[in-house]
Amino acid sequence: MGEQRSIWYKLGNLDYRIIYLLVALMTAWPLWSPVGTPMTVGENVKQYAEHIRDMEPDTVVLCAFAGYMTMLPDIEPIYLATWKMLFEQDVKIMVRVTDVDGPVVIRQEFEKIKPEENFGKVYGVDYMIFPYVLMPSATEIAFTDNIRSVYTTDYYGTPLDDLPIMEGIESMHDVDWYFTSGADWGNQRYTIPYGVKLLCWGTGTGLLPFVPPFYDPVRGPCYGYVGGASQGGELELESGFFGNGVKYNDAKNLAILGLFAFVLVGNISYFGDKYLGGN
Amino acid sequence: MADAIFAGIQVAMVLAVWSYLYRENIFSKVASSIVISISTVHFFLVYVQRTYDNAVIPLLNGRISYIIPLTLGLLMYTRLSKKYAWLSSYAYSLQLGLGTGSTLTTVVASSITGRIAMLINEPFKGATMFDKLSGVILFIGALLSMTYWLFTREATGIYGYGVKIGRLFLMASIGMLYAEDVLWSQSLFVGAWEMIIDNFIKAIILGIPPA
Repeated sequence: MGEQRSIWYKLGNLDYRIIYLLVALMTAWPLWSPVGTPMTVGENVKQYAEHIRDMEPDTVVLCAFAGYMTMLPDIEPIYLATWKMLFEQDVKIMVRVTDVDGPVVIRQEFEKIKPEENFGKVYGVDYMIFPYVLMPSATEIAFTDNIRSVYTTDYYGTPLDDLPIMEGIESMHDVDWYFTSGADWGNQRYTIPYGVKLLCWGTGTGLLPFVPPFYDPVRGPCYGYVGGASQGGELELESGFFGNGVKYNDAKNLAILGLFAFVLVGNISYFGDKYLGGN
Repeated sequence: MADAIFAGIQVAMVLAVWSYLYRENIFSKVASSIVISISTVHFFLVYVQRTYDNAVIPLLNGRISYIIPLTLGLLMYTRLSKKYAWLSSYAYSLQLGLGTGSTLTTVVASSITGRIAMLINEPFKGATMFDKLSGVILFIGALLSMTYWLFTREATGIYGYGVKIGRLFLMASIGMLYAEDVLWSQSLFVGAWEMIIDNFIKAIILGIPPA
């Protein structure tokens, strides 16, 4: 005869694969047919969008694009909404690819946005892309001091001096805003030495826990931030450029309810076993 | 037809990886091996190309100084030989030295004095009463969290209570890190599901055009 176990114990030892199945189903449901779970736009996202809208004509923006394939679902909504917001403005956009598969991803991103067709922008005049270069700190210092010491050509192999957008842009002294996924590093390398203002974008796990100490919408160094697909959805809502972010939010919110239910069951089991029913 | 084959491969790979959640099996092993192999080859080719473009070509064009980074890079591979592994320490030490030196120039202002100033100012800069209260809690929480790391005094009495409250603040922040990690993984899960539903089930099986 096996040992009799209490209901609380059995509850706590539920097959974990049931949790996986439930989360999978609750995630798939809104992707198949949107549920429309409520969303609100956070203050940090509003500030991020507001600072983009307030950019003066000919503002020079440098974007560190850290999109790589495996994490793209968490960050793509932010990138797409931000590019579109920037292309709506009359600003100069330079994009620096920071990851090894970034060159492939950035091409896909711009094929989706179609800056020429949808926003009337011209490559080399309104925006340009630097090629991928591995950038340890010493190289980044060289880059901030003199862009041409690290990059001689753009992504397509055109010499930088042949691009009209690069006229008069030599170092970070000539850049106004820097979009980065690292507030601390951006502050160290761009804000303190050159006074470049930061707007932060990145994954939820890589950005959100670390950016608040640097966030101040009035004094900076980080004037606004958006992290992860959830806040990407908020940015879509705020900007009006809808993409996958809102849909992902729907799926995540519902799946979180499933996870929450199991956290609750786990706690009921633990305390029930401890205080109400032993063997 | 090509889209259907591509979507089929994507779905097969995702399902093979997910099958690991049930238990480890031949499909999950094959899928993870394929992903690791392709990533390794891709990274290797990109780095070879970048090294060629950024160092070899300038060297061939007469910029002799590029021999230094190339040599240092090659020295890294002496790790493969027990006899000559010591040579790689020159490359490593130079890399670490440059990194440390360049970081130290601004790290104090950004991560030490800047954070202390932020902590002191936090309770006073809030626009609303709620923000001010939040700043005060943050200030107290930061101070008490620091007491957790003082090991020169026994945590008893009032000081002991401070350490315990500090530990709660630390646990709350670590909990937030964990929660962010769960949400991040969930985003990737949602992305994979979306691909299965939109690219395969709706587009290929049901023939529904994308929205």
